[in-house]
Amino acid sequence: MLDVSDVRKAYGDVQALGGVDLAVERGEIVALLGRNGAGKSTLLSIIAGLLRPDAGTVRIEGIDLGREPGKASRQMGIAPQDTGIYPPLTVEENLRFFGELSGLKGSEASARAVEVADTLGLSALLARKASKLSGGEARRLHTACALVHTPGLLLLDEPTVGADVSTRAQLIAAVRALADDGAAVVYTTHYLAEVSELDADVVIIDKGLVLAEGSIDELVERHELKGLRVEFDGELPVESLHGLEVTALGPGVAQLVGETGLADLLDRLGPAVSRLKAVERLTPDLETVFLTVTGAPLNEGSGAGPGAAPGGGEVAR
Amino acid sequence: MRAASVLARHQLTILRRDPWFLIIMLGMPLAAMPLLQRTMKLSLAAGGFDQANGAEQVVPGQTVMFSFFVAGSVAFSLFREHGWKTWDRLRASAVSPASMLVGFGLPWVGFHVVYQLTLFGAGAAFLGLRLNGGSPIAAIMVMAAYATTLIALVLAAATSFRTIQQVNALTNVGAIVFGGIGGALVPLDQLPSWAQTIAPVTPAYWAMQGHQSVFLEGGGVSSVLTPVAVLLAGAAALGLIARQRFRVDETKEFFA
Repeated sequence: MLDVSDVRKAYGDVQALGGVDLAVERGEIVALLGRNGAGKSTLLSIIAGLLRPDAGTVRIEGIDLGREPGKASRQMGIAPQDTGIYPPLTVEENLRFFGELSGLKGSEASARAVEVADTLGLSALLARKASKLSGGEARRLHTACALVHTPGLLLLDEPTVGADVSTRAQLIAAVRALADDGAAVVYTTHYLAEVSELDADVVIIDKGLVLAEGSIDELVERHELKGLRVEFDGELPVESLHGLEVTALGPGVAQLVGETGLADLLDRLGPAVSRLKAVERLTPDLETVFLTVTGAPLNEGSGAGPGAAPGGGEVAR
Repeated sequence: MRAASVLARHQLTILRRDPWFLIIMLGMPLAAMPLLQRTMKLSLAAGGFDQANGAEQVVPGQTVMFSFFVAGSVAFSLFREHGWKTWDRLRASAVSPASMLVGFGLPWVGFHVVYQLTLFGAGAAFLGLRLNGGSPIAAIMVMAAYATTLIALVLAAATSFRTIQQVNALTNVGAIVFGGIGGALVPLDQLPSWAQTIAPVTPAYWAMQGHQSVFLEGGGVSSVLTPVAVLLAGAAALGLIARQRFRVDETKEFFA
């Protein structure tokens, strides 16, 4: 359905994408993972035809986006990162407009508006002005507008940002259902838990390059990481940890990669042991994979979201 | 062109959601017309039109001037797509740039013609504006040509300017300066000679010439062919500029 080949993009001297390949089949959800500025949104914008690549090709259902943008775009629905809806129009009018704009006839667009509203829990709000919706409802409408013409390829740029728990659950269920119905989905997120919930394949991007791709199980197997996660009261005792492979995760929190055992750690800490709040044995998961592949945690500097904390493991307190 | 028609209907739907815009834009010239009518009667008499009641100048004049303000709305409708963050969605929906311009511009041309007809109708009902043998078709031709030119002018400005304030400045200055120089505030023959010399560069001048032919001189369709042709030629040139300058990937600043 989607075939991205050697796509490159630079902004002046800054390389945003340095030769990205990506293939997504019908029924498949691909989660693009990367920190802010990794190149996810640039890649999504290029696939959506909003940005021109410096090199490379994007094909949607075999149609070259660069040569036949109109034909290719009709196969695609996009929900950009910022909520984009028409505040003076009702939910139904918003949905109908985007449906008609994508080629649906009036009655067809109206019928689809009702269906999509039902899928995303907006049925009771069809006659409500978008300006009167809550943040979560607006976010659902924003995503619904991308689905109304039943696109074969769906591009969702952080669709759950700012969404409440129930909105998030509805969005994820709707995306999963669309993929089950045969849509190809490209989904960017900072929330690792969503990737598992979507049962998505993962593409890890950093500095404009694809560093790893595959299913969660494949990636975990390939990039298994052994080590400890430690948490201190106050600053990390850097001198005591000298010689270990340490990745700081936050103030007083770090990951020690390698075969370091608990006894070895306690020996090394000396008096600093009194400030040790928690030790957790790392179990391989998507976050440790991300850390191994990119050398830094996914939510570095962007605040922790659901799934930011490593899952499972033995915890000593 | 199907996408253009969907966009055009969409513009009109949004317009219907805010009737106060139309009420204010109609109310202001309707309030100004009776205040200025007597003065305009004297001005027209000084120009040799002894039988005129002033409505022949004040109704087209105020309509031509306020049309500038109304025309600014086409730019506003384009810029607010950036404010509402819907611009990227429009672009991703494969609407061609030409269809976008038509879709944004066309409903406003229609709206503009209806706006002018309403003000002229009110002038006839309340201020005694009469055709005096002039052709109503000719008057409508002038209105349509003027509407097309103004919308093309504002689209050219909207595609060239970065902020909505810049477009606002153009339409505000355009209404007062271009309208004044073009003979919309007072009859052209009472303006200083330098103003009379440069007046033909303004669309207001040609609109006023056309309306004068119809309402003061009882002219028919043939009497407005020159003003209509000049206005449409201007519209075509401005439309080309708009198309040339239109960059869909350019970010506009809109302060909602």
